[in-house]
Amino acid sequence: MTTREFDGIRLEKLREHVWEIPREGEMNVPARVLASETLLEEIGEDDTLRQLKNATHLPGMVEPALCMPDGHQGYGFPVGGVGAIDARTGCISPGAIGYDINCLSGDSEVLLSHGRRRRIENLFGRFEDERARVAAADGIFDSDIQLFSMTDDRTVYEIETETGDTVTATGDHPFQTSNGMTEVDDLATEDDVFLHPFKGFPDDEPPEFVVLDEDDFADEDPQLVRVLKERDLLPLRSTDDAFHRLLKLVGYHTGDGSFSRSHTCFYGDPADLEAIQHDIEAIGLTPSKIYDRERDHDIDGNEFTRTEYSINSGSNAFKQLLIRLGAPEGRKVESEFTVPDYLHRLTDWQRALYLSAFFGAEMSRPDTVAPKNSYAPSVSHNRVADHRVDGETFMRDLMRHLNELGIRTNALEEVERTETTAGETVRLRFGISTDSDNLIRFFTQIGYRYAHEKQRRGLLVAQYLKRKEQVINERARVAEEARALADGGMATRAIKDRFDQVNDRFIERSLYGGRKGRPRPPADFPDFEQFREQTTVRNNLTISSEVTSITERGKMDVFDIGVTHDAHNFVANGFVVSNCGVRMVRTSLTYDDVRGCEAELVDALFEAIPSGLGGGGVIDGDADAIEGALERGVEWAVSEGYGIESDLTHCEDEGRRPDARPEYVSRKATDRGRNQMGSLGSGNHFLEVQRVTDVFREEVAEAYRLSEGQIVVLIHCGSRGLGHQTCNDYLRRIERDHADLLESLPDKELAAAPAGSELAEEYYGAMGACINFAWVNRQLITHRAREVFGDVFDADPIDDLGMELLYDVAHNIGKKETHEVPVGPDGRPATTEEAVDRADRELYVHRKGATRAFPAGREEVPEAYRSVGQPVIIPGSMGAGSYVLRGGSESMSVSFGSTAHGAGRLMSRTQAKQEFWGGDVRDDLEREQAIYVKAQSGATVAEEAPGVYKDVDEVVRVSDELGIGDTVARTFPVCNIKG
Amino acid sequence: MTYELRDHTADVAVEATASTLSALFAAVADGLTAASCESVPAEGGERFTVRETAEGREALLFDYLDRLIYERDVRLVLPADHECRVVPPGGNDEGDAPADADAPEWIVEASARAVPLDAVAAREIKAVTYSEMTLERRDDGWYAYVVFDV
Repeated sequence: MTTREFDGIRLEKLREHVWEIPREGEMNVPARVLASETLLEEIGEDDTLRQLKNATHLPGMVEPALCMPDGHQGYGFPVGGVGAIDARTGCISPGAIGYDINCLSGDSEVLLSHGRRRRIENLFGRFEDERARVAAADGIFDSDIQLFSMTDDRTVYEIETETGDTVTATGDHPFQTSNGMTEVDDLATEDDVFLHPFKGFPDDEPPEFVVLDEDDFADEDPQLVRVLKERDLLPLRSTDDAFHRLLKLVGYHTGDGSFSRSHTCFYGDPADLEAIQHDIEAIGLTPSKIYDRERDHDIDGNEFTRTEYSINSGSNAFKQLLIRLGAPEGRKVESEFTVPDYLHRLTDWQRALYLSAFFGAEMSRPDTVAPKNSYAPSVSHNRVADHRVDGETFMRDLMRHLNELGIRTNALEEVERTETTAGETVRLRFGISTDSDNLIRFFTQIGYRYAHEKQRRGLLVAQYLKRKEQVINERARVAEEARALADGGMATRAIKDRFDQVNDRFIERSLYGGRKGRPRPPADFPDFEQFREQTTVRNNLTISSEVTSITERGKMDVFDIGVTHDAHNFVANGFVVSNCGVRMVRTSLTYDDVRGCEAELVDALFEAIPSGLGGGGVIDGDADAIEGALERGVEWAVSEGYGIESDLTHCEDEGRRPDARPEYVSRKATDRGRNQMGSLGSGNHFLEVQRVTDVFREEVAEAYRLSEGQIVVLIHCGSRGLGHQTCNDYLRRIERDHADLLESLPDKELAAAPAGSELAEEYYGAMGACINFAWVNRQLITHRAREVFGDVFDADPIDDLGMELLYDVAHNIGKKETHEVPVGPDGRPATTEEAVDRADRELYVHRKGATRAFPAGREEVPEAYRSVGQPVIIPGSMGAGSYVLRGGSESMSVSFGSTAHGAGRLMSRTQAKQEFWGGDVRDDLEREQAIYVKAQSGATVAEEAPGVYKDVDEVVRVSDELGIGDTVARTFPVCNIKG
Repeated sequence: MTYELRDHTADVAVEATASTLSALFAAVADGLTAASCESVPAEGGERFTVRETAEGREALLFDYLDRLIYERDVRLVLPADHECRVVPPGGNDEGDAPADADAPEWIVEASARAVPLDAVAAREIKAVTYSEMTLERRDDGWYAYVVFDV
């Protein structure tokens, strides 16, 4: 037997191009390298083999762990790695709400003071400093926390209600119900439990800075400064409890307050004024009692009398404090005030304090526009015409803060102009977008403060919408299942009989396509008024909700990080992230058409397509764009006019991951995505105009509509900062939640979440959303490239230049797929020596720098290419050309349907820069090979010089000879832009 | 305190040494800046502050570097000239957690000069990684090795 050894790692040659590292020590399975001897020599030079060996330690890894012919050292898993892992689901349940917190799962989120929430397990060790919200009989208050550490294995139950709220608790955990406190063991479905639906924001650490100090009061009486200092209000820091109360007071005062001489007045309902009194007292000052006076009003001839309630503070120090924090002085309509500047420096929950208090004063109360639909709660704002700009700035700032907190708004509109005693006055208005998810987020995360009735109503609307969404989702599921049964040949009658929860007409519409979009709720679904009558809302803002299921969820260590879990299957985090991928766009141009225009084309592309660090994106990533991209992928881009229908049918998964869950992508990640929608980034990512130089398989090339001399455009980039942030967010969460598992792995970067755990589900959903985002990124670049070609060749890019997508394929991605694998006596995947049979099993197939390469006939391959196999695009280096392959007939049995993803690096970046100079590389390419290169930085050109990569021809030869990816065409660069 | 950029096939690694943990963090961050940009202008850019907390030393370094990359993308600046104060649980500055701390929380308070990205020719470091991360006492001081994804 031929063997090779690199740095103590021995490989046995099984057959041509297949090398195995036998199982030893703590390896769960053997590993294989698919490479020629030449490539193996290169692969053996860096840390690739050790990283591959490390990856076999991951529990649930299915034989074998693989390295593709272009493999090289990465972080965690090697680049060019393929790892298929058993995807059997486990049993960790998500947490939700609950009052008594001593027997809940560790991931239950506890609502704290100031609208913050934190996972209960993360309170451990610092709960004494915290105050939680507690629903008492006569209201909802902040209270010290009692935390009980439960370390034993305890059987837990997941309780789900009709509104989709869930909580996981032990059987003896008491819940508030219509019949008083009832333990889970005594609860049954259809019982009512009480929920406080307000969730607030994650308890992020606020940035620490001085908001106001003595210098800000230099022109005031020293006595006033002394008053503030004595109460610890100076210096005022962004992390002070008093500051958080002041944020609310300033917000509310900006809406419903006034100043007179040294007095500060607030107007509102008596109960809400009490809450304001409480906050003024808490910062060390003395509020007045509540005053009432009868006021006569005359509005359009209607005369009426109303009682106006108010409180005030006679402290000039308080007044000056509020003014310096941004409360408007003088007549508001004639003032220049805007949203205070410091707000943008604050974390989400802090900003929500200001906003919700202002909304408590100024936003309309939640209401319905039709029996089952909500009307947009809106803010109206008046300024005299001379200060219209300030008013508009103020409103746009509010909208921007809302957007940044994940709440979409309608456009700002000018509603009317009227003549008043102050002169011409302009009324501006915006509303909260009324789609259910958006309203639910608004009411449960921001809502109204110092406005109990509005808040109560908002939470009730949120519960109504959640219940409606649950019903619609269930009906959408039934419709889909009915269609699947019909496709499988079941008669319509039998399908109707099978689903007794919907009527026959519903099934017919589902089968015969009589419905656009998602189903509506059934006719007997209560309208909001009926729901309000059926539902009890208590004064403590808890709302009754019917229990729909109680499910035993096995045993768990209640606060212990992680969960005792007998399923030893894992999703590995570190090596699947950002859906870096590549797409190729065909054109009907030939090389002859392009010759002479190369310089113009490369300049125009470089100008039009953002690249490099801080270069911005093709579009501004506002909240709608980010959410649309994360949720719907290319489908969103096409609906916004950035693509055409065939961009969907020619994309893997038709451009939309069905499992995408944007809500599991952090704010931090979407913040980074905002400036980067439609951008190449830097490093090895690029856009290249290429010509087809060789066609190897005529019949396949015909199906791909490729021919010699044709011009194509290749785009290689990923989900940018958003994907990387998501990866690191989860890496850290896994580290915290599954520390014991992590300790058993040889490299922390291999961090993995157990399959079936909440974290695994969340990560898979977040990754799906990142994949969608990456597709949109490449789609936006495609859109720009089409415009550039249209300009340069003075033609329509689609009709005249035929710029259709050939394919878009990710090569840095994890996917649930079914593969035939050896199985042991327990039916789970096993090593060949322990296996008793072979069977189809669902696996998480991780491809890190490897490309899916499914052969002809697989249903996952888009219909256009199903008869010939999936297109696989292998970008080479700048001077060496690229390849189009098709999924090979052996790929399923050899490499879990995968092949290489590129040439693979050979030389480090630092070494490359020592050996090459960017300017020389560029000039040589242009002079000797007629390749036009334009980059933001010469260093990038040097780092990506042709000589730093493996020989792409050799990589592709191995792929072809192994039958995992067959060569179809070779392309050669014409011009290249990069960061 | 010193740092050096190390060879890594696809990525870039920073190796740093310093006499205190605080200086070590700053040195690794300066290494990140150097890996992003060969010449940073000596002047210009306001300083900004960040604060991170984590359950351990390595996690803190990871979160700190992750935060700097985040700030870069959101503020559109290259953070440079880093200053750090690392506070171990219990507040001593020896860099070790006291054995009796049952919920140790490490804190880093740091500041950096925010050099606008359009004032420099910087390349993108995509992410900090845990791969092969080392953070340990060596001789009289501290040593770190961090791989960044490029």
